[in-house]
Amino acid sequence: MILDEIRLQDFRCFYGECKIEFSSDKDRNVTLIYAENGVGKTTLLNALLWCFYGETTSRFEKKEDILNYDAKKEGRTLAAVEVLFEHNGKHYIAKRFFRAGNASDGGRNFVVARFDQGGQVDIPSPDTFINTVIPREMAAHFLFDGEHAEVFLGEKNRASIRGAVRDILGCSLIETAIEDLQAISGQFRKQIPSTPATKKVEELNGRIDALGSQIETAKEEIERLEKSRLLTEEQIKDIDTKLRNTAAAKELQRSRERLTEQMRRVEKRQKEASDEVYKWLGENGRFIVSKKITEETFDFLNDESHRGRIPSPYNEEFVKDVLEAETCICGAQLPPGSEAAKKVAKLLERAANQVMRDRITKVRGRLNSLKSERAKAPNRLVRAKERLAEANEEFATIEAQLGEIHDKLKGINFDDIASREERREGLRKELSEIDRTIGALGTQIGNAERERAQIDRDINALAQQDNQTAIYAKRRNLCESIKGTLELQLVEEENQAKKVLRAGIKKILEATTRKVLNLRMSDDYGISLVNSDGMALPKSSGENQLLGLAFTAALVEFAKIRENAQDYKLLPGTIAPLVLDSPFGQLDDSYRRTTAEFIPKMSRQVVLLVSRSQGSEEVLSALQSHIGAEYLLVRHNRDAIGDRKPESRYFKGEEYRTAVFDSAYDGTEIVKVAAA
Amino acid sequence: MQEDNDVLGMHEPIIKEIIELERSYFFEKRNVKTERQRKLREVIERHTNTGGAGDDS
Repeated sequence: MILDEIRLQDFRCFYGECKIEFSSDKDRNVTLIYAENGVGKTTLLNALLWCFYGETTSRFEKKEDILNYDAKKEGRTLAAVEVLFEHNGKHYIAKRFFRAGNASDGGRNFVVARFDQGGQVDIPSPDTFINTVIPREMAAHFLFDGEHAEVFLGEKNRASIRGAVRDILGCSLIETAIEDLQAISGQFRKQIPSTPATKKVEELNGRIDALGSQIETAKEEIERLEKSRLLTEEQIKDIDTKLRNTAAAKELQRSRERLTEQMRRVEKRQKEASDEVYKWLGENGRFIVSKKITEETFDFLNDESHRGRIPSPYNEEFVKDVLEAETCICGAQLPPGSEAAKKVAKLLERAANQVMRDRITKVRGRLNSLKSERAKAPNRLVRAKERLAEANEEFATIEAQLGEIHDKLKGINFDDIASREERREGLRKELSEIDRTIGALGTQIGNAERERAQIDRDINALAQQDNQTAIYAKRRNLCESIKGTLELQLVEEENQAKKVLRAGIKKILEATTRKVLNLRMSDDYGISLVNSDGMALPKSSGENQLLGLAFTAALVEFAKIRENAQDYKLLPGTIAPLVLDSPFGQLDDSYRRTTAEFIPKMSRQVVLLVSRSQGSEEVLSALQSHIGAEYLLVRHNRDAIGDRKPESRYFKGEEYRTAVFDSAYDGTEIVKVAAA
Repeated sequence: MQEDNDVLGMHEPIIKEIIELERSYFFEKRNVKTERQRKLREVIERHTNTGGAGDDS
């Protein structure tokens, strides 16, 4: 399918009639649509979905409000989306209508017509036809809502997805041929006339029919159980997520307890460091305060010692000995009461004794101690202050962490965990019971099918014995033989396709991701990322988005290869346009550039819806040489501009307003960006 | 495998015819089952008439 044009009439925010002509150029295959948030990007994607399938994406709000509000106010009752496209060399138009109120009586809501010699020829089953062109199950991949890429292929409806992928792989002709041959073989069997030689055939036919209904019933039951299995699995997954959250809450609670204990220790250290500072001040303050007086005393003592004044140069004991001996050391006589003796005795007034000398030595010692303590004092204080600052900083960090944990833990009910775990256990038991029943039904089906095949052979053998009935046996043999041949081919084709798909996805992931990702694809196309031990890894939303894009790209690539396949049994493979709404939403800058580079190569036609932030300079330059058409979605407002700043963008040197005020309506206008 | 190829070779013309029939209904008339199966019956019947490609008598 190649999109030619979309026409919107009073659809949601698009007032009146507007259209986009998509680029169908092979080299310039990208149609770029710029729109700011809330202007209509997602509505445009949904217009395509709604036109083709009558559905919208799950996050599309107020989905029943199809008719534009202003149009409704003006009395209009019809909203419509028309998509013109090319498929297998023919041109078609798909039209879906919404008629409000009584106007919904009569008239078809969905029409697909082929353009033929100037006229339009209606396709009898439009829904089936569209599903043939792009299977509904695959629509989410071709019409890609990048802001909502969590649901990845393989998580739900695996059976239908398998069929859809087979369609895209081009194996559907073989599949329908197998189904038809099976049905016709049954018709031939029932036609075998009863003759004397084949009278048992009727009885065997009865048994075969009974086995057939048994098998059908068992299969229906399995289908029901599979659905119930999916539902139970989803419930378990849901509980797991909640439990993971509660487990995370438990972990948070543990962290809170650990941090509270740590905080208590830090508080103790804070107090110790603070005490140390005060203690230091108490103990060592005098060293700082006494600095001047100590220095002056030292200076004085040293000075006086130097001069021989302190201590006094006369020793008291020495003077007394001289007076007692009545002779000076120079030999002069010092008789008591003599003038000379009186002069010597006068020296006793200033003479130093042992007590005084000891006191001076002590003073010197104390002063020395003061000096050395003062030298050490600032280091101790600095260390204590450092310890206090560290403790304060750690306290602040812990306090912030505790605050964050508090916010995260708000509203979690811890009592709920136990009941959830109990419920989960119950569901696991249910699941295993379902699996057991499915297994038993499978065995029943196997036995019934074996019996049926045997009876089938018996019927054929009986039919061959009679000339009248042999022809039916022959026809049935032919049907079965062709069916077997085609079944083998189908398996072979599918295996080959899977190989190509795996390689394609791997190649794309290698080119776009920085992590080494191992890919696993199950038989029903469920895709997971696995580690080196083969364990499935949870995917980040960005990885999910890339994986989704890579799968789609690999399918498209496969369809392209298949286009030139010579095998007449295969269909050319679906060539679908890729409509990507905000595909860069969950990607970081480096992923954005590599993704922008490979997007134009992803499909024959790409429609890209981007906002200003998504369509960054880097993204646009990567796309530039592939852009074939550009459109801008402009928001119209009835309100006056007021204090708002005028909004505009420049394309190829020309200014385009992105918001218009004092407009005749509230809604979105589609403006074509003129080619340079 | 050789046997499979032999079977395929033997049935090639009828398979081609059946696939063409399926193809003609596939795109625009995928739901028109009864008519398609009736035509397929005719193909099988034609090929199993005496002397037909599917005649293994």
